[in-house]
Order: sequence, then C-alpha cells, then structure tokens
Amino acid sequence: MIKMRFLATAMILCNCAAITIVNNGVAADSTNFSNNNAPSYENGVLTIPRVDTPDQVGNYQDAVLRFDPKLSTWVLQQVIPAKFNSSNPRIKSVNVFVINDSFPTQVFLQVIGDFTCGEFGQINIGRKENLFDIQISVTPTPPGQACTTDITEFVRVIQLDVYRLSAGDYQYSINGGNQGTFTLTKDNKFGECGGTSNTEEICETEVTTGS
Amino acid sequence: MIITSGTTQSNSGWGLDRLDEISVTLDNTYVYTNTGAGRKIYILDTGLDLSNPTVAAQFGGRASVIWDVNGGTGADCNGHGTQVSSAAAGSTKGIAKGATVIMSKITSGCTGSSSISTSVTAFNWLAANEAAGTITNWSQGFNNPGCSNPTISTSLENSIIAAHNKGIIVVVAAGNDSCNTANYSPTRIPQAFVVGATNNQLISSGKDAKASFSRTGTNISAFAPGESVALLNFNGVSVTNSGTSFSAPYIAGIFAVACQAAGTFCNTATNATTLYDALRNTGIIGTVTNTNGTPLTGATSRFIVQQW
Repeated sequence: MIKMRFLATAMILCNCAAITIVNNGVAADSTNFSNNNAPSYENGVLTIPRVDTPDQVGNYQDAVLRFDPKLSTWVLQQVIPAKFNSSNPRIKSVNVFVINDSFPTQVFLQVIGDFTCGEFGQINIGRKENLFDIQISVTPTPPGQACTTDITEFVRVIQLDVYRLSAGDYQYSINGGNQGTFTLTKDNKFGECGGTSNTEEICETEVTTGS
Repeated sequence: MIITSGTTQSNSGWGLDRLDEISVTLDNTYVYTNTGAGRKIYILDTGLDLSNPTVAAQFGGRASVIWDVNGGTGADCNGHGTQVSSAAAGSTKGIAKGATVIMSKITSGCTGSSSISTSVTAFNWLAANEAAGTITNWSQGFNNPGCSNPTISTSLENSIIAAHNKGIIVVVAAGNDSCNTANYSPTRIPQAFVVGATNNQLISSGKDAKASFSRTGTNISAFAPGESVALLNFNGVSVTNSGTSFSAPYIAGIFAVACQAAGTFCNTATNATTLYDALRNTGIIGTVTNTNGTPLTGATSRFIVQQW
C-alpha cells in the first residue's frame, strides 16, 4: 500500500467549499502524522478518513474515491457526512490537565460522555489560531440498519498538540460546544534554527563542510 | 403502594421499586400479585445465552430462543438482549416473573446492529403465526445526525401495523437522542406503544425526572425507569445500564401482568388498541417532569405503574 501525505491539499469532493484533507494531528502540516488516520491509496482507490471544511473539523469522513482513467479524474464513491451532533454523543464533562512539571508542556482533555445507537467513531482535532476544535463522532447507522437503544458511557483522554505554541491563553471546543480554556505559561518549544520549516532564526553554530 | 397482599421482593433496584408505587416514592421493595404467567413476551434483540446457568436460572425454564438471523443458537454475546429480557421477565430483575420469554436474535453477530428487513420479517412472522395478546418488545432504533434528519421506514411500520392488527402488543423504545418521537419510525405510529425513560434523581422531591437522553414528544405512550436500572448481563453478572431500551421491556412485562389479570381480554385482536388505551389510562399523570424538575414540556407526563 502506498501511503500518501497530503499537505493542505485542497480538493473539491462535493458542493461544499474548498476542503482540506488532514491527518490525525493538529493540522495538515503537523509533524506527528498518524498512520491510523492517514489517507491511503491502493489499486486505484483513494481512501481519506477525515476531511475538514472551514466551518468544521471532520465534517466528512471515510471518503472513497476511484480514479477514472477515461475521465482522467477522481470520482467520489462514498463519503459519510459527520456534522456535529449535540445529542449523540453527549459530552457530560471535560477535565483539563496541563502538565507543567516537565518540558515541553503537555495538555490533555479528559472527556466524559455517552452515546447511543452505533459505534464510537473518529476523534479529530483542528486548530485555528488559539482555538482547538475537537470532534468526537459516533459512526452513523448505515441505511437500512437499526441499532440497540442503550446508552454506552465513555471516557477519552485527548492529547492536544501544543508543541511550538507560544505562551498564552487557548480555548477548546468539542462538537461545536463544551468550551473551555487553558493557559500555556511559557513558549512551548525547544530552540531551533536553520532550514526553512518552523524556524525563524539562523543557526549560529559553525557548520563544517567537506574539504 | 397499591398492591398490599402480594409477594414482596426486597432489594429490587430502583426501577422495579418505583414501578409498584402510585406515588413517587421508593421503599426498596417490589410487591406484585400477578407474574404474567401464561403470557408470551417476544424479545427481538441480540440473543439470550441459556447455556449460562445464571442466565438460565433468571428465567427458570421460561425462556427459549426461536430464531437467530445468523443461523446460530441465538446466544447473546453482546449483552443487550439478556438485559432487556431480564427487565421484562427476569425472576429478580424483571416485572413479569412468570411470563414466557421467546428470544428472536435479529442482530448481526455480537453487534447491536440489525437490518430493518430482519425486524420486518420478525413482525410479519408474528402477525402470521402468533395469537392475539402476544407481547413483543423492540428496543431498537436509528442513529441520525441530529434531530433534523429522522429515519422513516414504511416497511417497518407496515409490519408493526400488521402485527398490531392481529392483536400483537408491540412495545418499542422511544430512543435516546432527545429528539421528537413523532418524526421517527416506528415511534410515530399509534400501533406502537412507545416508552420513554425516567431517572431517580428527583424522586426524593416527588418527581419522575425524564432521563436527559430520552426522546420526547406526544407520541410517547408512557414513561418508565430507564437510567441506571438493575439488569442481568449475558455472562450472568448483574449490571446497571441506561437507555429507553430498558424502559420498554418494563412496560412489556406490565402488559403481561395486566393481561394475566384481565383473563381472556387480551386474546382478541380487536382489543389490542383498547388495551393500549387502557394501560395509558392507568398511567399516573403529572409525575414526570423535565430533567431539571420543571413541568414536562413536549410530551404527556404519564408514568405507568404495575397495579396488578
């Protein structure tokens, strides 16, 4: 299987606005690319687990596209709309853990809630400036299927990617609500220099080249 | 308490305890006279493992499996079917302690998912093969992305109507997404007796608070306990669980008890609708409130009590 990395690639899958395909990290250009939620390609079929739109992280899930050589284009085979649903799952409480006794600072959200009728789905995280936008989804019942009407409680601990973030106040929002804040008391990154990615400073260290 | 000369079960759990009280109170007992003996309750669900001695003992030889859509023995490897069955007719967890339980495993493997067509087959089979007065519990539903996209299945509704027209009493769970039952199949049709869920949070204040997850709407026939109620799991272990899934079988059990007490009344197909109305009319009006204790909005505040 060929793993493909999409870096802020814009595609048009439907009538919605431009969408961004991202991985399981904070943003498309995150360094902690997660294979378990990565787009993949095999035998002419492109599978994209998560698709963000400007208004919602994970707005579409499990998109499957097949390349049509006659049309020389990708044809959408299926996609699951995953609009935020305030009633399923239900978020009962969120506990914020900011781990400051080591560096870099780590931030975790412990989310307690329940859901009904279906399986626990994707957890997706996006960030726009100081707001972490989090989606916890329940896999919808496929057409023609019913499900048991009991309640399943859950506790999930979600790690926020706060590395390289500057000191300051940050917000989180889960499924369009359940908002809260936390604070990073200092810039949360080690010193870096040189190159072109994520660095602003020129390295002062003398670089030895071959003679 | 209205039954004063019956059998008393101590430490019954709050669900059973609440169901034998006219007033909103608890006394840690469930008192009953009739047991639903001679009545059949079909459970369309995830199965029942009668090879487990604790599960078998809960039903004392009154339970069987009639069908497994997977072609297996109908054993429960999910838990939901056993829990629902125990609420309906378990000897320690249920209402109708003498009723016959017939499990039809409609779900796929160990999942809680089932094809709607399987339920349609089951209801049509009941219409064709079972006698009036037979009770069926369907604690199933649909997962929709919000309340604005409800699932409608006319084939499911038609099969329930067919069963009801033959005198089958069809009890269904309202659903757990807080949406309006009037917009969903099969909770929107009067041939289904639709049960919402309450909790015990405000009983000390004399109120049956609607469980926050319970669907609402005037199509709800009645409310019954459905949050943190005591049940038996598929492995024989006692559990507490929540959902309108468990409110419905309490009412299925009450239908069995009521039909036993009513003699042959339930055995006439044309009486099924009358029976629905009769049970509704025995419900205690005004005790069910919104989750926060304010007067219930959007649904009839009717709590069914086991009076037989």
